[in-house]
Amino acid sequence: MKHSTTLSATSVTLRVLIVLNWIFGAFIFAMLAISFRAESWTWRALKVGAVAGREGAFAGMRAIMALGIIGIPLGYVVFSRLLKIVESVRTGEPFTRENAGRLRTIAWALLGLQLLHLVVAAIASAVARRGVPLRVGGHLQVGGWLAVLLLFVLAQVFLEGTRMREDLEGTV
Amino acid sequence: MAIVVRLDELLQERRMTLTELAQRIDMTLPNLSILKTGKARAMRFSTLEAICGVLACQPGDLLEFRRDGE
Repeated sequence: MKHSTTLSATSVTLRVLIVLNWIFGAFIFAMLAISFRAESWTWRALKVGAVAGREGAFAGMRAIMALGIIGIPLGYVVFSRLLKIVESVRTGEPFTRENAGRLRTIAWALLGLQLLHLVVAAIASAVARRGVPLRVGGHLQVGGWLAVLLLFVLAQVFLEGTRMREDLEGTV
Repeated sequence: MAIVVRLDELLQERRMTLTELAQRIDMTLPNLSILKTGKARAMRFSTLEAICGVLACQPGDLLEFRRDGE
């Protein structure tokens, strides 16, 4: 019963995250569009005063926003595949080749997000050097990279588990 | 397949149906059909023991190894 409640809660959370991810994407897209149309308003919204060199940093900020938009479909891949895995656990058949593939897809998407984060951090630090304070978490996220490795290993574990289940099903 | 299950022949010799054997060894008919049709990947010793007990045969009577092309 508790097991089922946890899975239901996870399922709902993932559905909410999928919606929030798209909303966040729309927000970044809107910010990027606004940055082209109303430059001064964007600076006010970001609470950045008349810092020397802020104009040069604008391209960098736009690049960060564009990279943020690229991250949205990657986020969708992670949440949607995870949702399907959770659904398969609820139906009692988690050890399938499909789930092993989904875990591998999530690992690749997460790897993509980690690489995006590196590029964003590099741009942010370059922008910050121009005098515009940008805080986008420039430090190296060890946990994220570890998660990528764990997911690739877990995908292989699921593949082995699937083979074992198939063997068990064929045992009389 | 290299291992051939000769359940069909043993049942014919003993004039026994698959359903009857399934009931006597307390196994489901679909599972026994998997064994009979050679679709099983593995066989438990307990299953082998039960079948040999009911059909009064040796494991070698039930299973046969054939090389490819034989």
